[in-house]
Amino acid sequence: LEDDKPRLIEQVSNRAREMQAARAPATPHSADKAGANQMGLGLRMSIDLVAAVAVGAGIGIGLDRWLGTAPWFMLVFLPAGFVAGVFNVARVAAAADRIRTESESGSGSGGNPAGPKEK
Amino acid sequence: VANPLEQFVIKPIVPIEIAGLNLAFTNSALAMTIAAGLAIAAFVAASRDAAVVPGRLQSAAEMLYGTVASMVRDNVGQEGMRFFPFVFSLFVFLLFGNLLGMFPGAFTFTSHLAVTFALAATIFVAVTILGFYHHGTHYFRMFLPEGVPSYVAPIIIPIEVISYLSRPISLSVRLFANMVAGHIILKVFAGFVVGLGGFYVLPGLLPFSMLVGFVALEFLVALLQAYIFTILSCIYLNDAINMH
Repeated sequence: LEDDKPRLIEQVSNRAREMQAARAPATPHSADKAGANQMGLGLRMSIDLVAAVAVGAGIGIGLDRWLGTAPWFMLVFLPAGFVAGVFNVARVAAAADRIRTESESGSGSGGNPAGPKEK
Repeated sequence: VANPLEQFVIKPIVPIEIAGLNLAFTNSALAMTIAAGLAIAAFVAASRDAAVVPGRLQSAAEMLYGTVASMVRDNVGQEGMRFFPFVFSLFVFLLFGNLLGMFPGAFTFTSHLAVTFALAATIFVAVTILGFYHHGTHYFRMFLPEGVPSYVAPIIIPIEVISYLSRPISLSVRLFANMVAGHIILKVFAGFVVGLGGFYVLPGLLPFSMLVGFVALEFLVALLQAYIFTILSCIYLNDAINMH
């Protein structure tokens, strides 16, 4: 049994090294995590766009109902909502882009593409 | 094929009516109670016999705590940790709701816009009040980005206001739409399996194998949507506290 001891220690340390090697590249850019984040990002953008258009249309139609000016406020606020939606999407995309270039240059501070800071 | 929308029907369990208001305890309320109760029970059990070398349950609880704590710290900063209890409760509530909905026959309360919008609207109103509390009227600067010339302000301000108001809508619709779409897909494909003769014959095997994939995807969506809802709440909190 005493003879086995050095061999056992060697085996264990080899195994530990293997595990570390397997884990190291997976930590920053795990394919799974990147895929999930990209999916989250895409869903976020699409709904941000639609939500702003809906809010714009809602404000316009609401004002028209209230003031009896149909369809003028709707005609003003629907395009404004669309522009706001594009702003939303552009903001999310710009933030995600910034985080990606940061993490590619190696100075990433653990940012998350699914949650970029707006503006 | 069974009606794929049947799983979303709200059924009263204990009918309660106060002053003409229907306040019945429904299957949705039951699912929420179970989610909250289970979450509390899990965390009490995890922290009761806290050990230096954590057991399985304690590790899971610590991991969740660490994830949310770093989420708050990264997105809001150290002063945002005041709101950590709220953010953590929100995340755990949504996570348990989404995951409990994955049990066959269980009710997914996050698949109702009324629920997700109530959460999103509460966060939106609270964050707006917080912003005005912290910055006073200076918070209106949210609607006019830095360095914008004053002659485009009449165009930019309504657009920024719409963009700001769209937050609770996109926040609530995203969670609700994802849960509804996923659960409908599961139900429809499950219906195909039965319609094509069960999973032990070839035609039924095709939708069945796809169903297995969709279930895995739904688990991912359940986790991801709880995470996104929470992280966006953190971002809105950051806007209110730090203003960009």
